[in-house]
Amino acid sequence: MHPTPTAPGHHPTWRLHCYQSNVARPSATTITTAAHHVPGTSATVITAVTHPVPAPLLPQPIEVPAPRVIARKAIAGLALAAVFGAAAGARYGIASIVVHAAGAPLALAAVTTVVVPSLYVALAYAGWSLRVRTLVWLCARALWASGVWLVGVAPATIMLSVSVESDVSAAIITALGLTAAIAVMLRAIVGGLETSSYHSEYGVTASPGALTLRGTLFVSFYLVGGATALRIWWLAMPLLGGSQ
Amino acid sequence: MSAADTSMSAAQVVDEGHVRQLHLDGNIQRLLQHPAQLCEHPASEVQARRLAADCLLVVALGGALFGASVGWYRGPAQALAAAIKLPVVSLVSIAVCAPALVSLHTLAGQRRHGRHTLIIMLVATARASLLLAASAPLLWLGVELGVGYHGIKLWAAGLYGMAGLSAMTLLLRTFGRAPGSGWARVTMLVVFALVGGQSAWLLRPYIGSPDDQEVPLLVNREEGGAAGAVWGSLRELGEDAP
Repeated sequence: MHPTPTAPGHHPTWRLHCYQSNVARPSATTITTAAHHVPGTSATVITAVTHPVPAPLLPQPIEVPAPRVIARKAIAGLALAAVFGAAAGARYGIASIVVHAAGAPLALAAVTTVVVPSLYVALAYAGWSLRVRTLVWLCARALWASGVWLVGVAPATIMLSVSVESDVSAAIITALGLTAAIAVMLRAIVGGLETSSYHSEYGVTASPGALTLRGTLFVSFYLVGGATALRIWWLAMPLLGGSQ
Repeated sequence: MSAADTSMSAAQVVDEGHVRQLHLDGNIQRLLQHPAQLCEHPASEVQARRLAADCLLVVALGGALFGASVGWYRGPAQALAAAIKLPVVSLVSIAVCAPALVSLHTLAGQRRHGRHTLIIMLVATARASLLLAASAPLLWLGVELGVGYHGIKLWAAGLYGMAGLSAMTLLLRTFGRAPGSGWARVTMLVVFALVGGQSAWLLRPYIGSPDDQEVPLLVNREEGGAAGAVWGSLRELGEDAP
């Protein structure tokens, strides 16, 4: 954009588009203007400069694969979590292995099917939009990440669970692994939502208020999701002592 | 086969042995001075195998030397038993921690082939074993000069812990600076410390209790865990102090 000095007394007006608030195609630039008086004349130069919007503010298009791929990823994550459960339950025998293998993925599944939809509703209510398929894919990826962590520490868990002297130590070790797993899962979901959700009113440049509200919802999600998972594990895994 | 062929193949064997020796020397130098270089992806399959073999040799010898110096408190038989057990502890730690390292690397965005991760673990453990081997003469000297049971126990535990720390710092460096690597580092530290400590605890005794007439190969009684044993020795030392 090349501004030209205006004739004295004539001040052109500019129609400016700061940003397009079209949610479907948010603009990638903003335009700012500045008026400068030319010394020695009565002319005013209006300068318009385009600024690219910083990348983090743009919604990152996440490529959502086919439903079959999403399902495979989610099931793989739950299966890997079951391996951890089996490793933790090895302390008390075969029946315990089966019970804990069923209990470990239960909480992860419950959080993704019950707590995440609540977050989706809350975000939508606060003006943040997200495609449902994208959310489902984020959940599947989060389950898989959590499963990867759990299967990685499964050998350490079985070794420690079987060999430590006290039941309390075995429970603490298992609880640590599960707590880390739910933290991984929640962080993966929130991380995906941060980059893929967009505000329906403010477009790409969400106001500080909207961002703060979203941040508050995320913190609540961490607390509620974490508490839900821990409670379910407490009930479903006898090793942790809740169902004895 | 003619005499010329036999002498040529013998010369080739000597040459290959010499080259192998140079590789081992080079790897030991790098283990001590530039271990991070050895953690990079090996250039070839042959190089990877050589490095793994060298590291296993160092783990075996370093652990044996340290174990022997610890067990020397009870005599040659216990020295031999401890010399065999300590390298096994290192190998068990590698086997149990390697899957955790693979999954943490994956979650931290540092996806590596399983074999590469195993080599990283071998390099880290070999470096720790070199430090154990270096401190073995000091421990032996302490035994010979009459340091008491609890003193030797705590000294050995401290040296083992320091060697483990050296291995740990090398492992932590492999996580890079990607987002989430800080969390992965802390987790690896906890897993490695727990597994290393428990592996050593499971294969005890290395010195044996002062009350035992004959030291068993393995012990199955409840003694409060590794932390409990260290705490007990600290209390005993405190009570014995003037």
